[in-house]
Amino acid sequence: MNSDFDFASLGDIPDPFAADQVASASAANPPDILSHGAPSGEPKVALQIHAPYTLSALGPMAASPTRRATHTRRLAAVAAALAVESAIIMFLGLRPPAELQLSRVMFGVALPLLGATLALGVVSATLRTRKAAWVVGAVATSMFALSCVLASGPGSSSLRGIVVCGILTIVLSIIPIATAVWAMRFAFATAVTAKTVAVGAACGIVAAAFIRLHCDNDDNWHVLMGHGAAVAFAAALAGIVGTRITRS
Amino acid sequence: MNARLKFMSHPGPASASSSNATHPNAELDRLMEAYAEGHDAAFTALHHHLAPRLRMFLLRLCGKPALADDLVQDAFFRMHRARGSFSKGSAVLPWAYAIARNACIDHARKARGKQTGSLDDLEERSQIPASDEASPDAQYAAKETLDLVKTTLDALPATHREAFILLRFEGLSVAEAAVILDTSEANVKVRAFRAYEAFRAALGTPAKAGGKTP
Repeated sequence: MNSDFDFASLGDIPDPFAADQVASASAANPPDILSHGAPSGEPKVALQIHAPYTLSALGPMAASPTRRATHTRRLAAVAAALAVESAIIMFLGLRPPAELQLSRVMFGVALPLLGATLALGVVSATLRTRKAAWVVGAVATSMFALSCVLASGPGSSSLRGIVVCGILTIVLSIIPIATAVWAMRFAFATAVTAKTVAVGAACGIVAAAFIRLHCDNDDNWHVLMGHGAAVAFAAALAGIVGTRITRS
Repeated sequence: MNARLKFMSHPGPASASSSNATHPNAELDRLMEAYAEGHDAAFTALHHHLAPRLRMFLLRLCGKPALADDLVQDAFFRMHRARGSFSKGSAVLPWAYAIARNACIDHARKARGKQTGSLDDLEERSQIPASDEASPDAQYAAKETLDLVKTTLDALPATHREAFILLRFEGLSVAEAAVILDTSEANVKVRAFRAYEAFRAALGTPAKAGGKTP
């Protein structure tokens, strides 16, 4: 394309649907909103649409959460996911207290959790473009990779250990993914795949951070490959399955 | 010259009809803010402003008035369902167009493999209006041109068609179209240019300065 192309030239093409503007203007008659007994301003609102096509296809309309209700739902999802992850780790058993040094907890657990939180917050709040979503996901994943280096310590990089920890971390990541996708259902109108993959990667990072409270193997390769498997798995699962739920 | 500036000086019919010259969509954004916060009364006004625009957009995309009406309903249902996720401070128009586009894409996916065309559709689509004051020859020529434009629009790849409709008919900026189409601004420009080239070839009009491909 020539860079000095004048886009105003598009105006030369006549509008074949110009006469339909009148019909479209009549479409401005709004459908009724019924509050179903709830006082005005309550989040429980149902939309009644008079088109037979829509009514037959959708049946009774589901309640539509307001912004505040959506925020509450997301916070509840995060709290639930963290609680379940903590319970599972407590059930599996914490690593020996002698190995739970502050620096290791800070870099191995807190840093990736911070990255995941940032990613979830940014994706759910402001992102508009696909490129930005990829960047956010990449930053969070980089923070996890950085945590592997900063919190490295003694351990073995045996394949068996990597596989066992990989499976365990993947199982751990399922709860955060499920809650995050539930909390963000119908949330994305654009860049759906990129945003959902970023959310999935963040959930995988949460699982990878929690598993460090249980796994006492601090070898770089073990953490990166074994625990990091959940990040890749969660991102892929969210991208394949989650996009159908998060798309509006 | 900046493409956005050129579009600002050549707005589409929808934006041209707006009453607020400085921020034509600020009122819409304010209404959507209120609606997302739970003020249900804002929906009526929001629907009043958005429905005609979305209907025209969907009509130009799918070409069938009845289907466009259904898709508008679907789009508003989706917006209602997702209003809590509408980002504070965002522009409602790209969001609404993106949702309407998703509704259209979902419908096309469902309809894929099924026979969707009917005689009624053909009849609907062949209703070309013409001015009563024009001579029969002029009416016929106008009808032929519009038929040709419609046929060309249908024949365009979906990505080119969407970009062209958003820029030419909906009066959106390249940046807004890029957000809606989930692609880069450069890509939107290329798609719109390709669509323009197809129309120019179909209508047999000469290229304007700078309009030729290198």
